[in-house]
Amino acid sequence: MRRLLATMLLGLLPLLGGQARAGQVFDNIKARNSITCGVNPGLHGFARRDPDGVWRGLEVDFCHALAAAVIGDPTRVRFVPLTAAQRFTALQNGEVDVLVRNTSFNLTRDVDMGLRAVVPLFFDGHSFLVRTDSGITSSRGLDGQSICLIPGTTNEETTREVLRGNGVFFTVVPVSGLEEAVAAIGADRCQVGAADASQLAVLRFTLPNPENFRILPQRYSREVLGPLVRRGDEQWFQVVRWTAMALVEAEELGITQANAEPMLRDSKLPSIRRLLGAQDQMGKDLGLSPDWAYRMLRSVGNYGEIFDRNLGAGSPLKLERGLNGQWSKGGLMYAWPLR
Amino acid sequence: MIRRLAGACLFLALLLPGLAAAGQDLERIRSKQYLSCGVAIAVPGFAMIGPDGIWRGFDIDFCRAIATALFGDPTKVRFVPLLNEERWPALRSQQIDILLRQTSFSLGRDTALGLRLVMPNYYDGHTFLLPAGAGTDLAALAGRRICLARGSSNVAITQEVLRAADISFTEVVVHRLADMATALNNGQCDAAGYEGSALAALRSMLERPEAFAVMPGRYSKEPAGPVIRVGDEELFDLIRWVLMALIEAEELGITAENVEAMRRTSASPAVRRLLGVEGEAGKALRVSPLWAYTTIRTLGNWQEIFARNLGEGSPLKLERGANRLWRDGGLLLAWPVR
Repeated sequence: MRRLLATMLLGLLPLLGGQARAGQVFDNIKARNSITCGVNPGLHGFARRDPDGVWRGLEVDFCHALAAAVIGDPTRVRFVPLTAAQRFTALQNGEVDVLVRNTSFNLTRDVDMGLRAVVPLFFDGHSFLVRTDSGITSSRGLDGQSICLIPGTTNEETTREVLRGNGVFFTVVPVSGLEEAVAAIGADRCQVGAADASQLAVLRFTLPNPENFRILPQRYSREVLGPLVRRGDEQWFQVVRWTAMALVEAEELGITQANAEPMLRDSKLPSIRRLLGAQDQMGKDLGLSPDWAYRMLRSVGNYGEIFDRNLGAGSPLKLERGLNGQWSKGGLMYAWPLR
Repeated sequence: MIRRLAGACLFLALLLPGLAAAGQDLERIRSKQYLSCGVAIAVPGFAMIGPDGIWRGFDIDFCRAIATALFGDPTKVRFVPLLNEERWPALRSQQIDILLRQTSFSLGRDTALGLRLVMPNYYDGHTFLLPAGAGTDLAALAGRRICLARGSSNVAITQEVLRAADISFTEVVVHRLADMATALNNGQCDAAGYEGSALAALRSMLERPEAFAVMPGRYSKEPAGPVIRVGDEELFDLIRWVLMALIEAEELGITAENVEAMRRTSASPAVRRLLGVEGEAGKALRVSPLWAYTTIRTLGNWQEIFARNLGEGSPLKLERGANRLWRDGGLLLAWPVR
């Protein structure tokens, strides 16, 4: 009887010690054998089904990375397309495990909604798409314009703030998404688009005559985009946080999708060996297997490869890395050490 | 026996939800009406008690900032100086509420200890101190007796970095920064391995600072910041957003001197939201709407805290390096307070 008591107490000790214990989200994912990711319904570069019905984009690749890390199979993802209006409720009520749909971090979303902003995946900024022949070079030139934007987003707020500050009179033309914006611009119901620069790049590329449009060089806000989870599940928060960190760290260490296997075999560098699972079992305290990061990198590549493929040189959007570059190259992508 | 077993299980069952209950640590801090911060023992620039009995330093000021945001009063804080080997037990046993001790963030520390890394308040990197003129790369460390701090991550980093470069050396492990200074002064060691900022502090403590130099290279990333226990989401919120507010203040040009005028007269929505004229940030954090206003008025913005303790207003005169705003080429970026 004493031994039974001692065993039970000993069994509970890891919980008291706060070591990795499976949280509810992790348990659900393991039981379902898939991760449910909230994503954009159709935004080039971020989350969109291509003509073959395959989901592609930065958000999509991050979800594949999570699935590779947690389940060992990058394909074990269910994508749930969510509009701006649906996105937070879907996360709050458990419909999705993680909201990867491009969402700006701010205090309200991090603190006041039962959610938690995890880590930035993409730095963006509000700007305006204008006709090249309009002569508009800054927000001051937007006087009298009709501006297409999605109501209820931070872009609406930023537009109103910036233009109110300039004393500019303008009309808002509400649209629910990219398709409506394209149609509205085509029908001249609006002459200007207001959104984050990355979204404007997509809008521009979708228009029948992209060369007639330009994105203003100014950034009127700083938009920090990244995944959100429900608060209170420490283990899941850590898995999402360190998945992102590992993707960035891999790029800094020069580990790619192509060279991950030879690196695992041949590298003597402790930082590389630790990341790929050859020493120190870094996945253990996350509740993951030792080769979690290796599987992830073999599936989707490092952060730079994900960026290039979806938004950068390897995509039609051709966005510069800018703030999304490595910290050693003037960007903000900085991974905390995986040791 | 069965009753005792049931009692023990009941006790543990009642304890376990408490570990995960949101807000318990913050509630305890509110009810005792002071914040307890674990800090370093006598590190110039970061945490040092003066002859007047007053604590000063970069980490000290961040702790006061959190206390000010929470209580409106920077004096509602107690500082607990800790050795490396004392820091985790002090936090886990609730002897302290926050560890603000230039603790380097890593995966292991975020997951294996029942603790949470909030957000860096300082970006640093491991390097070495060695005799001035001895050389500026790792080869200059060959054969040296290198002072290292017991229980710090810098011991393993030094071993890895020098092993990878095939450089042999002798470890001299000591407890405190003051012990390192003594050892360097009397020749027990002729080099030291630590974060660059700690080595600058160490150098300032030497009998002959000019005889030693901090190497220019950095051999690891050492993002350092506040650490708390797992389980209190509201305390995590408060610390994260106080740090964000101090960065945002610098970005918006708000200083200790002008914050009052800014609050009264600024038309900028970002300024008005930060200083509590508009919006409900304070309410969301469950503190006064003046949380950021009072903190900035008392401690200044991030740049002012740095300048006073580590920068041009201090003997250390450190460069900001990566610790500049993102728009100035650094890593400091605040998410919007809205």
